[in-house]
Amino acid sequence: MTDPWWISLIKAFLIINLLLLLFAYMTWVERKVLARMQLRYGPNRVGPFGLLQPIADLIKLIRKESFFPASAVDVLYIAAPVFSSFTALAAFSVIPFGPGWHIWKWNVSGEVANLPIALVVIFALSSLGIYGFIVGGWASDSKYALLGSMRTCAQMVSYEVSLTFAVLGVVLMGQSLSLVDIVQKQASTFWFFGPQFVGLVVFFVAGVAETNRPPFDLPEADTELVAGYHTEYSGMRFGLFQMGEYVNMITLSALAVTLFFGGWYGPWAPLGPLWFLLKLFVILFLFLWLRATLPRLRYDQLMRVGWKVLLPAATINAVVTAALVVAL
Amino acid sequence: MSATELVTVTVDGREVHVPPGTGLVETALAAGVEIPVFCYEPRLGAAVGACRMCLCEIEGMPKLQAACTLTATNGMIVRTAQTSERAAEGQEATLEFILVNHPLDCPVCDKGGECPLQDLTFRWGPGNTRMTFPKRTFEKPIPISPAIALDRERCILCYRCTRFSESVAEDGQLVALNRGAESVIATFEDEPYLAPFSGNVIELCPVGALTSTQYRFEARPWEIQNVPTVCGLCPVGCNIQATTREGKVKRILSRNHPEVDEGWLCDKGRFAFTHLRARDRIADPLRRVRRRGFDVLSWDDALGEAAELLMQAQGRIVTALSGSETVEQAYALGRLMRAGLGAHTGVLPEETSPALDAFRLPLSAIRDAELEPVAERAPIVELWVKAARRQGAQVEQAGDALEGCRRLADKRNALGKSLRESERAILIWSGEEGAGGAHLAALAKELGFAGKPASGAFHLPCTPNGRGIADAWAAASDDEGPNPEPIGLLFVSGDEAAADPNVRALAERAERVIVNAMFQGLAVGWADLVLPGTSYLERDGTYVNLEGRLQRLRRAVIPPAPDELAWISKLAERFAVEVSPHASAVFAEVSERIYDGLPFGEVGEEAPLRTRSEAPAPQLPSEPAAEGKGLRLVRYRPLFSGPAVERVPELQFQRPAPEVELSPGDAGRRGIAPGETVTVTHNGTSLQLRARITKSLREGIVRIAAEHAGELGGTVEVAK
Amino acid sequence: MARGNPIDSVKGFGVTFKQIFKKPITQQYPEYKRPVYPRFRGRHRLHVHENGLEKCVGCSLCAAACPADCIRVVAAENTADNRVSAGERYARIYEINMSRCIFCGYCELACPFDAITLGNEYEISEYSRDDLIYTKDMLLAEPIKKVPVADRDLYDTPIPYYQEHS
Repeated sequence: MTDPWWISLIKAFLIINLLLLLFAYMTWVERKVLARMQLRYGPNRVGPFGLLQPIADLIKLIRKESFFPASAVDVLYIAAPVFSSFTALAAFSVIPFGPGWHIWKWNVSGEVANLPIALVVIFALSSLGIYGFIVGGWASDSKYALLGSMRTCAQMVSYEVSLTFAVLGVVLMGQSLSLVDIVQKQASTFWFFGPQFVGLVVFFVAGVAETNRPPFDLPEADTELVAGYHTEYSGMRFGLFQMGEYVNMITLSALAVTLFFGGWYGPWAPLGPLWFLLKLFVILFLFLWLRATLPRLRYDQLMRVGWKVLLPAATINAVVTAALVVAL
Repeated sequence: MSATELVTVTVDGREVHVPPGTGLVETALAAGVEIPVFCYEPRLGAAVGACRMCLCEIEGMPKLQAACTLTATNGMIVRTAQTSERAAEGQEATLEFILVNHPLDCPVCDKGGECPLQDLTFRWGPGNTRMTFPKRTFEKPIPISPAIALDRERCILCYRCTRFSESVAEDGQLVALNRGAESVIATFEDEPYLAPFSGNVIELCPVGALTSTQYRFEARPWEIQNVPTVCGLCPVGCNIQATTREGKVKRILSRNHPEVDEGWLCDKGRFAFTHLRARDRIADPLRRVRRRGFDVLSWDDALGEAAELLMQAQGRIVTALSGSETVEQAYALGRLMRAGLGAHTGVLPEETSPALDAFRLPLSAIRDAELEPVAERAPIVELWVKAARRQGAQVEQAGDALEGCRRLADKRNALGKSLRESERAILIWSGEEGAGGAHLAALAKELGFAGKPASGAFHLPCTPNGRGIADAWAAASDDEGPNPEPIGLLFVSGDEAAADPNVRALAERAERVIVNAMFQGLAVGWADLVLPGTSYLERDGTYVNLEGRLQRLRRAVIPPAPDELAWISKLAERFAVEVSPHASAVFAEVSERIYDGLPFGEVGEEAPLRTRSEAPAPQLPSEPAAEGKGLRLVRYRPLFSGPAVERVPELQFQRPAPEVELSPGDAGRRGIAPGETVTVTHNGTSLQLRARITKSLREGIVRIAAEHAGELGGTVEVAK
Repeated sequence: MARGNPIDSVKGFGVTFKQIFKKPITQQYPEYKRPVYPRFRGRHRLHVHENGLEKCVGCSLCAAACPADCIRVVAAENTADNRVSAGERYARIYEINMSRCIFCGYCELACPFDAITLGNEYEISEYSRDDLIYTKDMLLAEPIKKVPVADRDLYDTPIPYYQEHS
């Protein structure tokens, strides 16, 4: 059952805005949680508890000089951050929030679009998103940017493979590529994080690497490579890149919740979005926890983990799952 | 020099071989050992050993000896403070005694930071004092002249100043009064120290006892920069360092070129730099507007106006040069006027001639000469002549120069005969009618100086760079042209030309006048366009001094108006002549033509004298027709005159008084007593001046300083 | 490369988690200003004698000692009707460029008259660089904002000669 186009539009509108709000306050949460883990306060001057800090940052970014390197390739330079943010936001269209509601006289489904190949769409979109980073770094015409973007894309591509392999087990257990079906399966049987624990771990680690989060953030750490692919970006263009990164992170957490933790499933079904958000926050907290605790991986260690540890683990997991599914 | 001529001296265990008679301080220096000194200064004559700072142990002498008074003899074994404990103790005790009454003035003393007493106390002195009594005090500071302050408390009685006054400047005005512990430095009856070389005692004094009032409290040695350049106020061209702080010149010190000035400066060169900041200094171009006075113009407008004036004159332009431009400036002006506008007439206050190049010698040769007829006196040259006299040379005054030349050329003259026989004879002449030294060269050739390398002749011109300018002007173009009549435009370059009454007379005849000067008082009343000028301290370039030595000027401070080369090159562009605004490029062009391609960078810090060159020797002019009745007036430029000196308050006490000099015979005939006010008349103009009798003046001649002579000239009558 | 125990990495997570519940150790400036030590080197001060004459003689030794070359001293003569300092000369212009000063205290050590000392004030921010060039009157004046100074008895600090003798 597909919704009338205007309901999808409203839903999309709502989800985009919520996402952007979530992104903004994700930065706040990150700074506060990290601070507390480091025995300090975090932002507490701008507004009560620093709650207006993201607004201040936004204003700062908008007011900053958005310089344009003279030798940069114009269209690509401007398009790159837009592109990466777009793919990150677009991936959210297939993630189910709730069971579907009956509002007034319309049936509203729990996601913006219900695609039978939702998982493939998500992975395709995230692969496309890598283009944003590569092109951004190359179009900046700067050696740090180029090196940074090369490293970033190599890292993302390698971990993409492990990511998809980890999901393979879930797909085998859920018997479908559609996220809605997977959630339904978990709702009716059990959440997949139990039997697919290895898959979950691989997915999570690969997800951290996929979004360039610490401890896998070598390509964009200041002390390592100036700022990697976003060296030559400032002002709101930089803001768009950051948005792309954070929204990517939120997307992956949402995906983890959907694939392994039952999605919107909770005690009272119509409150699906609330349970979804709670589980999302737990996963996001895990991201922050990782950042506060672990030191950065060196690039060769990073690549080694991606190819020599995660990929075999994911493959073996998939094979074993397949065998067990057929057997049982 | 063969080995038998050197003696061997062992200093602190190191052997050196030096010519016999070398002072021990220099011998130790040759061995790499430093002996500290205060009163020792070889330029002041024999060493006195007054301060006892240079004490050292000599083998064979029981007591400690003052090394500055001893000379090297064969087999001498010297032990200085570095190896001998007795000598070290002696030097430490000497410093302790000097410091017993020396006031704790270092924070307020001008010499702090560049004080030999401070430096030697650090290296050889005691670490603390044992003096518990009140120190001796004097009233301080005592101004012994408007330019010099004396602080008796700080004086360590090294007698450098009194020895300078006695045996170098020979004015005997600074003396040591009383004896023993009561000795003080003083002038006679507290009169001011009035002498043209008084400023040198400031540099000589090793402590802050004699300080310059101009530099009092101006800067510390770590806040300043020294720029090596050459003084441009007289034709000697003493090498100086201009001390600058925050873009302003604060004082002038000597750079000691042993052949030109031997480290001495006259008071004019030392103290006259404040004219750079005179109140009536012009900083912007001015254009005369009838009835209203003057309008300030922007540089673009001024250059446009100048170009218009130049074009209107249609080549009937006369350039009046003042003699203090650099070679580069004169060449650039020459290119603009001669090559760009076809105006070949340039006027200099005096003639120059290359004739004396055949008899070139450095000024230090004067000291080593044995026979010198001298016609007049001039700044640093005077010191050389005095040094020569002290060394036993025979110095003769030859009176009126031209007459003297003719007399000496006569083979029967006794002085002329001794000149022909002597190997080291020097002729010196200064005065207005020397034809740039051509007459002197003729005389020198007559006396047979051509073959004697130690004999030579000096002509003392009145412009600092007359020779250089004339050569550069001539080199600017090969064409010639007649003198323009009537004069369409008079271009006056420099303040001395603007102050010259002859140039003023030319300006009356010219239709338009452009003046390039520094001071408002001189040019502004009668010029149509005034372009601001720069001083010798603000220019990069070269000067040729009276020896014929090419010396390099360096810019010490940035002038308030652009350098002349900058706007001359812009003007020249409008007339299709290419002149570079950079001194080095202009010099390269000039040097190709007249200085054998010498590069600008090689003119050097201590410029060498070029070798003698053959030049056509002119004939001595014959006796001129007898002039009209009356006394012949000689206008001379005294040392402390000129637009620069007029604007320096410290030097006003040295300015010449309004006097007329008469010979005793002329004065006697007219019944004039010394000091009486007399009236001097010429052609209807008359002046009141004080009379002064000068014994060495020849009869029939009177001398008046140029700035007091006004419009007088030619023959005058003097009456009570 | 020594191989660590992987369990230790997991223990690290526990450490960071526990920290969330401890009280942060941040001191909230400007509500709380930590008292400085008595010999803390803050903003310079020029001193005067009790009879009102300035101690500074304009000798420029502080400028010579300054490693950052931020002091400018131009001296002038004391005249009979304008007697500013206690010696032959006084500092007509005395400027310190606070944006270049490194607060090392060498000028205080170099001064022969104890005329310049470094006080305790450190709150000297300005909105323009030109305002950071402190002139003589600014340096002679009392400090505008006082900062808390730690109790002298807490620290083993001998009292400088100039603070007890004039």
